[in-house]
Amino acid sequence: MKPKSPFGVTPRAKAAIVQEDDAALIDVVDSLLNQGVVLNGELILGVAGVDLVYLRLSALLCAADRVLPNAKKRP
Amino acid sequence: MSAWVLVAIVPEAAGGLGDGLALERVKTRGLVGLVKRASSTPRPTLAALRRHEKLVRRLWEQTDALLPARFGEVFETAAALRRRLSDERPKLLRALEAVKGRAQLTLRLGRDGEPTPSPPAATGKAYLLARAERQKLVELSPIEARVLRFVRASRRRRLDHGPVAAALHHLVDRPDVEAYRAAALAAIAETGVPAWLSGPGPAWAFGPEEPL
Repeated sequence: MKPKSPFGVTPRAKAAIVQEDDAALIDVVDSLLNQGVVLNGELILGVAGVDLVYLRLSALLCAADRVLPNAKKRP
Repeated sequence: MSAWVLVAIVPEAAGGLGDGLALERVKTRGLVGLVKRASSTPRPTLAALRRHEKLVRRLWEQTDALLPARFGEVFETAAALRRRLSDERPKLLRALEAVKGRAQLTLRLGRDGEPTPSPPAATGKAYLLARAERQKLVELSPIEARVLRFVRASRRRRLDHGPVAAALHHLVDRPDVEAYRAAALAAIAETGVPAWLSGPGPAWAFGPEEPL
């Protein structure tokens, strides 16, 4: 029987989540959305401290979208 | 609407940094905000994120002190940005001094076992306080111990979900980067601890909004 990780995937599959091209992607997304200088307090409240990186990218981008100024105009 | 999209903050002494990259400079005493003009707030697409990262990295490679701006830092006018730069001036100058001549490298440590579930918080304040407390609990890993001699400053984040348990951001003198990388990769191989190394790059994790 194949070993399962706590996340329900094999260790090999788990490793693949954060290796090779995805690692670079995680770094880009983590750095740009979760770090960097913030001069607008609104962004700090909306993004900082939220573990965005490991959500699906689509969900992550939606979350970021919601804190950007344009999103406030939506119902 | 015209948007002033902040890309990075550099010391005024950085002079012609960004020439040829279609950037404008918003100056206040001793500080320059490098901005890109846009017709509206940029949409957070993967392509836009990559463009922002590439631009910041290109600037960082041309100077020794730069604070990268998080994606989506938009101001409606140059005056609004100048005011914010002026308000934050002492903190920004300290942060620029701290990152000068240095690069950020990040170690992401894999999770060993199930994440510990957080107890439910009764209020938003309680949640945030508990979260802040958990962030302090990332212990020194055997891999980090092997690179500590190169680390000039560090910031760490514990992650409650996913295969990565903690992200350790290290600020390293640029001449030490290769030695740091060699030591980190050797430690990862020898200890067998699941970990991933990235960098060198701009000091994304060393902005002034967190204590230096």
